Amino acid sequence: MTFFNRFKTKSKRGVDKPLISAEALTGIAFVIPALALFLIIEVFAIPYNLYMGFHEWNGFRPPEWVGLNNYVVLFEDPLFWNAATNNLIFIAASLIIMMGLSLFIAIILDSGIPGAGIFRGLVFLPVITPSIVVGLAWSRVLSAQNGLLNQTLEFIGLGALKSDWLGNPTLALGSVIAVFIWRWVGYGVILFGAALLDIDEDLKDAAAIDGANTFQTVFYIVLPLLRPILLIMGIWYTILSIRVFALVFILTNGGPFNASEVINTYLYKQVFTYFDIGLGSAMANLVLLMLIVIAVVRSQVNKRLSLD
Amino acid sequence: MRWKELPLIIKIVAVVILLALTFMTLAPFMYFISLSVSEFEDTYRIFLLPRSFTLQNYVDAWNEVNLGLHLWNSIYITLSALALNLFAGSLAAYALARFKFPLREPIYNLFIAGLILSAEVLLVPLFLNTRRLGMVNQPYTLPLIYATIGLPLTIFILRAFFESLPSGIMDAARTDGCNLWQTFWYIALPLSRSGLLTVGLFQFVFFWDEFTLSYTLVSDPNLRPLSSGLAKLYGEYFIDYPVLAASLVFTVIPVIIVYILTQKQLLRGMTMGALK
Repeated sequence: MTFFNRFKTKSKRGVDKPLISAEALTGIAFVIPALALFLIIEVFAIPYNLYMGFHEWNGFRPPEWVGLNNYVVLFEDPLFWNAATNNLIFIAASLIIMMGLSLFIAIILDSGIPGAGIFRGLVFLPVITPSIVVGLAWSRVLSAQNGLLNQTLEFIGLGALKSDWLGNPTLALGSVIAVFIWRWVGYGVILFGAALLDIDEDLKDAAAIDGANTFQTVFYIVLPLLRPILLIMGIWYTILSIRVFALVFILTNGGPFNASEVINTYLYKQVFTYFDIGLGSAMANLVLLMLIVIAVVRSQVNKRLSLD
Repeated sequence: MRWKELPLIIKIVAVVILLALTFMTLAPFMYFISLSVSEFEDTYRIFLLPRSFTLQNYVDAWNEVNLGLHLWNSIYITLSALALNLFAGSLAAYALARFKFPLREPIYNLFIAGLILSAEVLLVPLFLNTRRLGMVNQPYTLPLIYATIGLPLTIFILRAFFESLPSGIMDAARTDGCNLWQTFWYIALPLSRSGLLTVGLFQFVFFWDEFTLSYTLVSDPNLRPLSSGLAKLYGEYFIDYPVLAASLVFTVIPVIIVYILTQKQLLRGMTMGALK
């Protein structure tokens, strides 16, 4: 017993008290499975990525230390800037078009229009539909070979607008962003809808009695009250825009001629097509840096809105 | 802005807009459902509704492109990842909420920091390590990785749940002779059913959808779930659109069934994911 007694300290009352309590031991035991998985699979990946970003490696010969060269190469690579710019366009479209559209839909639904409940259920359907289904279904819808969109344009007398939506370099990025918006707009509709419900009806009625019309009520009463949820939603849509991969990969694979390339598809190409693992890792690090910046902004916003 | 008090013209405009939005939301679904029951010759001829009706595409999808196998893989990967994620996650969340132990807060903050990671950021290290450890084409690789990627959100949501449980119940269980494990398993966990359901539904949607890792970490066609399985088929030798459409219907139906059954909790889970 002396061996074990070394781990015990005498408490004031002279009773043996273990150095580490049974509660603490159980706590550690409960955390270990999750923590082990998390450390080995996720946390480990971060320094590994950093390390690989300083190397040139094609996966066959031993990796070669090149310092910051991968980052220099990236900053001089017009295709990387093209991809980064496209991510920025994704973000801008999300913040302006997708936010605007989802707020607009939420306001219409909030008026108590007949069928609002059914539409709320429908608009979330694309959000939960797997990317592979969204991507492959829309690649037929947007196809130049008599796809649904071209047929619809023909049907409503706008046949002149028929195009190869995904195959034309000037249209591809816009088409992919349109599908992206179609998929995620429901998030905003649901969250804005919940926030609108929380706004006191009397406030809107009071504005109406004071002579405000519908638009004035929306701009001067509703929007300022929605500011917190607008911030939160804006951050979430920005995160989705930086993370975008599967949808672009399936619809266009970044083409034609890199017209719809985003950083994640370019990263994928560098690693799995050109076997430039170092350059891919360097890009992953830049994506991670962007995500960290956004996480910091988000925690500041949450703190100010006292959500934490 | 109560509906009855709005001017007629605004009502009409609003209804027209809502109908147009309904059409835009549903048209792609209608299109590939119609395509899935069409004859091959009608591939480029159908508008929204099918011109012919056949279930042959579903039979072909099942027999010729091995859809049943991919469907089974999706179910197996999603459910085993879900079980592991919820088990390890709830255990850790409970300890982080209820027990005092060294490094408790740093460990919690480490998990929360993991919320920002995306599959694409982890892609290169996971690809190289699964290769090095001989984990490529092992049936347990994707469930392990998915369960782990989902841990931060599971722990974030469930810790809040466990903290909100009245501690009197658990103290009573302790005095009645339950050990810490029994208190967790028989008392705390059943009381947190709605939290488990909320986060479980989010993870279900995420695991069923996951594309990047299943596309890159699995090279054996027999082990691919629907997401990457269909992408490979489509990319390699598959231009039979009606059969492809039938496969898409199979892929989306489980999610829609779950959505219909659990609409409120699923919405809650999905929006919680967006808020943090």
